[in-house]
Amino acid sequence: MTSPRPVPSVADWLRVNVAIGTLSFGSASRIVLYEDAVVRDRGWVTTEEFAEVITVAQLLPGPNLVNLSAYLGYRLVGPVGAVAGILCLCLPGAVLAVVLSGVLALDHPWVQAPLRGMAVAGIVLLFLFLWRRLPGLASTADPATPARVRVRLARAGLMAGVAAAILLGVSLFVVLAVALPVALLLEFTL
Amino acid sequence: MKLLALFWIFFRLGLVSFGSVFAVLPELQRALVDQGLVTPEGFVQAFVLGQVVPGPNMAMCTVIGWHVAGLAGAVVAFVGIYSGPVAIMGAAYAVYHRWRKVTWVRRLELAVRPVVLGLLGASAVSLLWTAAGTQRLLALGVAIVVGALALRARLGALALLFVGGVAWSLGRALL
Repeated sequence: MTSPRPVPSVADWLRVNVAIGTLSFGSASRIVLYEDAVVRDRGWVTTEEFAEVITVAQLLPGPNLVNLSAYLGYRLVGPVGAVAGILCLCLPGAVLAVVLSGVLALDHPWVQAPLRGMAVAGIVLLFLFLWRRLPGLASTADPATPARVRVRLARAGLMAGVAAAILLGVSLFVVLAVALPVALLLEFTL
Repeated sequence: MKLLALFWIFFRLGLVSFGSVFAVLPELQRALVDQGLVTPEGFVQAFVLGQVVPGPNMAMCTVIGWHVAGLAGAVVAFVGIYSGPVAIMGAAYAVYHRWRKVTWVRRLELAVRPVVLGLLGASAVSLLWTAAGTQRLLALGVAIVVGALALRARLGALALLFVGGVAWSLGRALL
């Protein structure tokens, strides 16, 4: 039933990571470029598996982007390839930042304007990325039967509640301490 | 000793940096500024640079390492901040990938999914707030232009970033 998906070589994997590590201007754009590269353009993982990896990546410590690349790297090309992929992803920006810290007048309006614009565009991409994730709220353990309406509503409410709590300044640890038990309760009782 | 202290600060905070560098920003600032390793202005500049360059915004840590102790400092900061999470993801992959088809494991992931999406949504909103600064109308305008092009013209991500940069520059010049 599952059709074989293309498997990247280590070189393919490093190429994707370098590309994102050098081109993902606009902070929020990174994770979107990643999904486009590995799901839409190359088909190395399915949308559903990508959604799973996002959950794992977000729940464990570390930047989402790095965790995502590490997980998919381990999965697709093994541990050595995964670490090499992380280097390809993180080093270009780190080196560029060090170089810029020596030469750039960051407070100059003509430097700031395009950077601000790219940041806003990146955030728009992040909203679109979230929009694409919403159908995932209807998934169940059995792919053939989507979740019932009240389960979907409960999940959407939980999502909105978590976002609102964080925006109101509740600390991440408090939010997780409340939301995770609630999430489990919803899943296993509704 | 300085290198060791630097490594410890970054490694320790790497282990609790949920989501992105934002999670540990206050603690990082406290650790680095209080120990006299970085000035408050230097810290803010490094933060801005981390936002500007491509790749993870933890690039700011490498900048701080560089300014504290040159190349060795940069390497120590880079390895310190990333090594913990990458090792943990290795373990997480080994466990999760093996068990992900098991029904209750899959249900755990499905249960937690809304929480994770809520966290992402909150960071998108607060990022937008930060990026807009005092120029909320301009930010809104740029966001609408980029959003419309993304939905209507189906431009790629890079083209949209470029459009955003140009739109803000034009907006500033005209307004």
